Amino acid sequence: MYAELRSPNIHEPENLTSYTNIIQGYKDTVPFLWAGGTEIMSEEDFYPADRGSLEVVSLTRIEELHHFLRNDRYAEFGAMVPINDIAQAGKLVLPRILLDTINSTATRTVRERITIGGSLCTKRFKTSLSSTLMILDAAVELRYLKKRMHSKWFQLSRIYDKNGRLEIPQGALLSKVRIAIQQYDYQYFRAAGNPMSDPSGACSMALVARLEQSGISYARIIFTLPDKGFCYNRELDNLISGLHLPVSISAYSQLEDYVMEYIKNNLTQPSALQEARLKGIFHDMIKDINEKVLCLTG
Amino acid sequence: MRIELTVDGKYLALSVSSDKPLNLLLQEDLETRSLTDCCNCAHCGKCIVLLDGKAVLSCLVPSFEVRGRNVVTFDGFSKTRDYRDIEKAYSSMQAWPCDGCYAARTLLIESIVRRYESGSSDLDEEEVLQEAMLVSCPCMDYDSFLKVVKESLMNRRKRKNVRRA
Repeated sequence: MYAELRSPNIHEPENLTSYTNIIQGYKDTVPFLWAGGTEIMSEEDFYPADRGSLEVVSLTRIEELHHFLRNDRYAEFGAMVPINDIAQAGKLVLPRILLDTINSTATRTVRERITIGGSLCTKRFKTSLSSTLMILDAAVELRYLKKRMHSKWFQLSRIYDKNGRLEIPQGALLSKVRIAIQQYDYQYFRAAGNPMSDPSGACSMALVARLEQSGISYARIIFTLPDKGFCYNRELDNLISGLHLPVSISAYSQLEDYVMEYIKNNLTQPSALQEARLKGIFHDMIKDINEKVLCLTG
Repeated sequence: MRIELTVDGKYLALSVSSDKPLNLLLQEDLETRSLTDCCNCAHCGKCIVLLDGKAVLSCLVPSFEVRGRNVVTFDGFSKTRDYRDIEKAYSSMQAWPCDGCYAARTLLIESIVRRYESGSSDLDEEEVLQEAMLVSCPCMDYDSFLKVVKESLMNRRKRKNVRRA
């Protein structure tokens, strides 16, 4: 079947040096980088398609991309480490919000195939993992060809535009992800819907905050609409940071209106289901933070 | 592209398109009977096979990635003693999946049982309930799935004489 279709060429380098040699050998065509393949292969029209002229570089066997390292300040993961391994290895040290995000992503069977690098570089939809890593100030190492191979560290937020579209040099390889080891007083993550099968109905929210006796002293909040992008801005952070706790009903309804309006103006109009889900998640978060503060103050 | 792999214990050398998904390779090139029902796009969960002993959605695995690896489909697995542990659990719990998802669910349960059969860690019920969602067929409720997994695990440990710490 489909015998007339040519099969793409597959390159399977075993280390970064041979990866560089392959990339340098195809200066005119941009090779297609293959990590776990979970997103690419879940496209409905993935196969059959004529990819005869495509040069695929599978990153699976590159040893350096499977390493992970940890010290007192940060954990560093190679791009090909499956997200399930990150949750297992970092159970005791990584921020709880990151573990919650990973554990809410698909099921363990699928998580064992999703790589951290791949989930940050998705094109068809945005993942909650990338938004959670953004508010945790994660950094990524990019390797790109410019006469010779360069590598440079970037804040994760800098590799996306304001709506979450990936903006890295063509053919660049995201090789490492560095996550600071720090815990916050308050961490909240909720996701609703399935971003792969129904991106227009799915959404998520992540918040990290430092609490003081009567208010929030520091907060970072991000909303993810998989089919549209991220909504992440200092203005929203400042709005949450100024909150007095517990949040009163009138303050809550003002805040909810402002946040929804902000998402509509700065991202795009969410679908009716996304809007209802975002409101529900936001409401649950305020309720949760109020409960926590009331418990602390007795 | 020429790939060599082992399917249900048989060593095979095939010439296929390098990006062909494993489920299509098994259906079209090897005529695997247990994979006829799946939707081919990662949403139904009916294309589960064991790849080196771990459950995978075969529609998410390209042919070039299975070179030199060991694939077990339900057709092969149903002839093993491990299958009897799960079959016994279905019957003692009086919970049977429908014909459409029987193969996928059984291989998924086998993969979960292999993770925990050594007895070194406790069964994570939340994880098992999440795994149950992988197969989208509504024929079996999550609670029954969890009970079958527990019973299968018990059968396996009993048969292999695994003593828990």
